[in-house]
Amino acid sequence: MNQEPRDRIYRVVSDVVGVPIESIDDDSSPDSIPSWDSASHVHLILALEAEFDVSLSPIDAMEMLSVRMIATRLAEHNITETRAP
Amino acid sequence: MTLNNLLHELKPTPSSYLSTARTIEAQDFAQLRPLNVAILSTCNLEPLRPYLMVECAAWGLLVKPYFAPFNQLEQQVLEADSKLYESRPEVVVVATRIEDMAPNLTSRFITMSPSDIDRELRQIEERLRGLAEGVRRISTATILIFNYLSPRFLAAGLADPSLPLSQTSVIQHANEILGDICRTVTDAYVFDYARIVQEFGAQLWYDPKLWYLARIPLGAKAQIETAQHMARYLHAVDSNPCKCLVVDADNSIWGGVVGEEGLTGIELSEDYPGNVYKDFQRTLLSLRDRGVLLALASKNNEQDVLDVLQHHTDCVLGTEDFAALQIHWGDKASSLAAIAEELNIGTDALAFFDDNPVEREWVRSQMPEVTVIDVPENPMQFARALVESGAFDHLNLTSEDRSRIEMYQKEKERRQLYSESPSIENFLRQLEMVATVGHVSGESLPRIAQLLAKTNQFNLTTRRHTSSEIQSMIDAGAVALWLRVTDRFGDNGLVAVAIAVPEDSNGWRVDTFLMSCRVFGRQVESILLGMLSRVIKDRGGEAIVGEYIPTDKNDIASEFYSSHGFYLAEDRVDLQRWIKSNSGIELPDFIVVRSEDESGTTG
Repeated sequence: MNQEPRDRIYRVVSDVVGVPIESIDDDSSPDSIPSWDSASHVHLILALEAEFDVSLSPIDAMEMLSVRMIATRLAEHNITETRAP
Repeated sequence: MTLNNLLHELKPTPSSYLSTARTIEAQDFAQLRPLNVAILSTCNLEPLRPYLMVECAAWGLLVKPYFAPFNQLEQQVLEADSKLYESRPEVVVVATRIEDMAPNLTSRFITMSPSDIDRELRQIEERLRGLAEGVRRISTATILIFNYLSPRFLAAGLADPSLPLSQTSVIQHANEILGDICRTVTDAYVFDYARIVQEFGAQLWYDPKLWYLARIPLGAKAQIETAQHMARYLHAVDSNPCKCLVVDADNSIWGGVVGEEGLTGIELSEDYPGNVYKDFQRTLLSLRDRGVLLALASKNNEQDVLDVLQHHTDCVLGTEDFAALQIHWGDKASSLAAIAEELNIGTDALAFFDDNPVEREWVRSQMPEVTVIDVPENPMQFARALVESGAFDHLNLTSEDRSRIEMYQKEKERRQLYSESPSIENFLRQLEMVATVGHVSGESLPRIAQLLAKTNQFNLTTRRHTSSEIQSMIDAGAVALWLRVTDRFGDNGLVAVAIAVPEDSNGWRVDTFLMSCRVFGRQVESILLGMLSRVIKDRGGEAIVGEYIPTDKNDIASEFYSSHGFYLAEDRVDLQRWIKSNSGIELPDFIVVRSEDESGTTG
């Protein structure tokens, strides 16, 4: 992979909820991004599954409610950083 | 960026479609022709929105579909001032699922009579026609109506194609009805959703290279898939299906532990995660419809579990759906043994479903003959694991299979009566049994051969003659009798068979004598032996030789001849011969006996 997981998560969130990638950080969540509503959350989960080629459980889906939680949950699927962020 | 460039860069991923859709929506490309589309559905189709926008743009259309809140069909269609018409639709898409339109056709199919099915189909027709004509009255929009898929799991499993009216053909019929509606309503068309699903599967199925190179009609994955399914059929041909499914309660048929979380704390509802368990209970119920007995083995306080079964509003299964309940803190192997005993079946006819791997291992180690189902960790895969375990695969579903469940339930009532009756004879008298005995003929042969093939316990010789072998024996002079018995609780069906062949000048050998354990302990066997003795007598038989071939399972029949006044003439390890002069056998007076001519029954 030529991109670190963190960058790829930012890209996916940006594409799905429709905000500029520069405005996204680890604290981004439905609270800070109004367009990250329940409908786009479903899209986000499907987009993450496609991006990282993983199958996420309903519990993953319900807990991935911030960029940081997305990264944590993906790490449990062995999708981790290769360098310090 | 031009539209062409935008579409050119599209990748088949959710995020690519979503960002492309957003751009199309924001830019309003002038070359796109707007088309107003409204979508009505009985489920949540809204996630389709961005994909539909992008795919329509590729055809030169600007589509920003209006999605009605799901399950609002008539409310939207029949009111001229609804949001649907406010959206000025040029196309109205109606997407309903058969599961939502006629739930019984999917989950309770086996319990439905042809007239029930007909009624459900007519209701679907009325509703779809009402919707199509409703739109037509108020708007000129073109109407597209989704047709129906076969359900994910067929109610009869592998036996569906053998049903006189298969579930698949009923769904097909619903689709034909939809075709009729579309032909009679102007500008209404079928959206062939079923075909799309099939084509999507077929794309994964074929490998053109293999076809053109070697005339192989299926690709590598399809070969594995076909082999797996064919193996399931072959397994069904080779082995007997389990008769009873023993399920655990906590974290199996609901989420959580009822003893800790209480009646209202367990997960069982119409929403996630309770809906996963509720659906699994529906799968269990459809197995029960097929004639599989359900039993519960749970380590719990009995009342806690009974409260859920009797009072939880989302509990699909009730106590009456279980043929046996073992709810206590004892070990599960003992519970399984008790269930087999209560139902009068062998423990090898049990399948066991428990989310707890320790319990599964325990049962496996204690009772290797039990089919222990590998339960996946994820409850969303429970139903599939159960269905694909093959434990209940039948290539054929007889009406006998279907009525078996009712018979066992009546048996339960009988036992209650038994515990209330002071003496066994009094109990038997209260049963008001009527036995009908007849000669085996062409019509009854298949059922007779089936009984010979599957009866293990009360079976004196366990000889598995086929239909044609039995016919040859009859042609050569054998007497073959069947017996069926009814009582105040209903018809037990054809439950016993005897075949005797003339040996020498005046002796007859009982080659086969068996009885279903359903009626064991009711002296029905004495009736059949007595009737056999009379028929033999009429044909000049002066002595009866009874044979007993001991097996692991037929000890229950070992005293049959001694208790009817036979003496042991030959005692080998593998065969006992019992003899009695044919001076008649006393018939119990609490069973009314009829011959087939009197009752008009032929078996």
